[in-house]
Amino acid sequence: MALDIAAQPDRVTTGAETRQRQRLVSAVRKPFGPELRWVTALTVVVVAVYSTVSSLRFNRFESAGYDLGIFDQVVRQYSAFMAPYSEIKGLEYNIFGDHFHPIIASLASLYWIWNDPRMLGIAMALLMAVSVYPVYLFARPRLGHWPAFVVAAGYIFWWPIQGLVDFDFHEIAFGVPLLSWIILAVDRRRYAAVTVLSVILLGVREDMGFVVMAIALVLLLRRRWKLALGLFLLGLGTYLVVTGKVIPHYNVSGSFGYWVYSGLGPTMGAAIIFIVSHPLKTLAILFDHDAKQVLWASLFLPVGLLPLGSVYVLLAAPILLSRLLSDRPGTWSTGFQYNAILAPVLVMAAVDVLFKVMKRFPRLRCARFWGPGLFVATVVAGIALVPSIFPLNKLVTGEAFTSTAHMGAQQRIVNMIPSGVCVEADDRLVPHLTNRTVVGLVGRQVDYASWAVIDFDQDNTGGGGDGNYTPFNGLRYKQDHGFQEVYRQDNIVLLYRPYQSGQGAPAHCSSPYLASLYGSGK
Amino acid sequence: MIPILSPAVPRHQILRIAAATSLLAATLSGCANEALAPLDVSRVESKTPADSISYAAGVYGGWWDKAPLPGQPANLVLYSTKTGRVVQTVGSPDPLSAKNMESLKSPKWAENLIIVMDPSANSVVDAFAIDANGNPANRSTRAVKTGGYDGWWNSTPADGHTAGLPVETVQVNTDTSQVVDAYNRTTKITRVSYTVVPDPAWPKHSIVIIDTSTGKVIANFKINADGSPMGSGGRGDVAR
Repeated sequence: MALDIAAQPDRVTTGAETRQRQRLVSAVRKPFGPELRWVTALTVVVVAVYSTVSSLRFNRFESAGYDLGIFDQVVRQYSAFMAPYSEIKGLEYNIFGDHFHPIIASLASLYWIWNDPRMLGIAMALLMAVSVYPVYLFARPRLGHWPAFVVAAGYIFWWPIQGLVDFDFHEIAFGVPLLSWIILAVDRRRYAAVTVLSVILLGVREDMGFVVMAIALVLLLRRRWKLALGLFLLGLGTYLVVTGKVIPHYNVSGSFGYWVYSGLGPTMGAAIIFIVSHPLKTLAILFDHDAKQVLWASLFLPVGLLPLGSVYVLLAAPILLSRLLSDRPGTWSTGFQYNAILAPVLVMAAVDVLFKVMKRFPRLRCARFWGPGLFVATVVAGIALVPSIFPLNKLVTGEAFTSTAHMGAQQRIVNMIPSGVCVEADDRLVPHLTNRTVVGLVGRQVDYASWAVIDFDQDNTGGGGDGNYTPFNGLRYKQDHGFQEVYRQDNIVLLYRPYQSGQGAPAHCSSPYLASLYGSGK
Repeated sequence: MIPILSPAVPRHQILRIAAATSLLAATLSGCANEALAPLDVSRVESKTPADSISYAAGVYGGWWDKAPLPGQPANLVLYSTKTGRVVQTVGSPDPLSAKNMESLKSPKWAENLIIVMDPSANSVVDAFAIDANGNPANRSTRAVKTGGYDGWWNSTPADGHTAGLPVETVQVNTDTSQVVDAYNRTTKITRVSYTVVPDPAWPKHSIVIIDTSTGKVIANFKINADGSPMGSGGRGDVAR
């Protein structure tokens, strides 16, 4: 019988295929081998913990349309092989007019398994877990197995990573593992891998062009002249093309909306001239606000200022500079997603310098134990004492598992809205409607929506600087456009306006994808 | 060839992966706790905003009579631009200050309005047109004949902050390329010198709002044949 099978032509395997298969099997088994099994166990814990955090945030109506709902709409569009539109940003708003992050299309297949925004939380937990391996592998030859493990554990539960998870989802989640692997590849002189990963990094966000230029500078110091020049030009060229052509092409105002450096000048050229001609003034801008000083301290003190001695800190420079020189106070903050991509850079740079110090001063070899120990101690203390930037505190104290009457009312009202209709909703309710309605924020779909929800327990209807309303003004606005209150519970008002033909809405505001799934909703 | 698709991979292994994926999908879908209970709105009829305002024995009834929601102003005056007097009060409003009167007597307002103001915040929280007998009027068809359209571009938010709002706008009918209205936030003047350069990209049967400082269209909306905005009851688009 075995001979019969072997005789079939389609069952014949070549030596090359066998070797390829063996390599794949070996790669798949490696994380479970004696070398990495503890790290793999850590990643399993990371996925479980961070998926739970995301899921609980969703269930407790703490996640928001900005940005979870936006990414959910975009990934759902990708999963249906459609252009990345987000109704939260505006009807027929192509997300490439906002930021350039084609890499998130790679998440589309996840929605074929489960069509739900919570899938993005799971994906982000997986991406964070993937970044643990390079941090451990970078630290192990320098510090040894257990100190390296402690460093990896401290890194993955450090506040910048927790801040990202607490922000629901963001494209920068891809940058965290990519940059971690790039540093490992640079360290191990795997330049082909550096090149490939750098190219992929450019698909994470437009400003990753600057990070790739920083990678080129590191390679320059390694005297990899050609590769350094190539990556530098690639990073610069990509940034210029994406912000000068691609984003303006899709943007409704025909421009790139995130150049907000009034202190430096109206264009990148003007900014460079300012920085070169006024280096001290530029330096002063980096520290001219309490929030900026807190950020510097929060990033560098827990790692003992060690990263400042490593060449790898160059990779953090463009991200930090672009934020601290910006006019947007939100980007100076320890909150949100902004700091996550700095975490692997600073931790790996700190390990790099710690190793060099130990090598130079052999008496300090014991620092390989107390150094990582101190770092983890700050993380544990932070989780216990500083819930504002260590959101795992809520998980540890059990607060994340509690629910309130208001959450019950939010869920009840969300359930009252039928599928396949067009809705304007409070920002906190938006992610609960994205997978079955065309939903945007209050006041964004005036001509089309039939349903609206306004939560008077919130300060505003959401949407940040893009224009939002106080709940009262939002209600007046909707009532001025013919909406009538049909239900009210716990200060949440559900409004409805009968569908009117001739409103100009395509198929009752349903995108073709939703219409095919849920009908017109009329 | 991708190893997993290789003929060397046993079929039962592929089936096992498929089964695991299906189990994962079923488990995750089970996490969704939404038991939909759509509200029956079949008896809800279309109403104009004016329908929600009543008028009897010289008293206007509206949202201000309902139990106030958090953040809803409770002490209001209803001011008639026709008579130039307060016609009704709600709660215990502060006496009108000079600043309040400046807002109420602005040339922005038409002469047939009831303006609902929160004097303590000096904010106009509502306004509706009335007919000659004082009854709330559904005046959507009069908007274009007598003036233009109100919106965020030419009004002041309730919190009084106008940062980021355009200083001067013109409203252009895209079918006629005529300026139907304009407003300068600084001078409060509605006569603005502006040369229309029609753009083929403008939507038909619409009004485009142009920020004169940039020449760019900052808002647009479709209008009916009579000039009333589509999908709007009209009260929000009170004529000036």
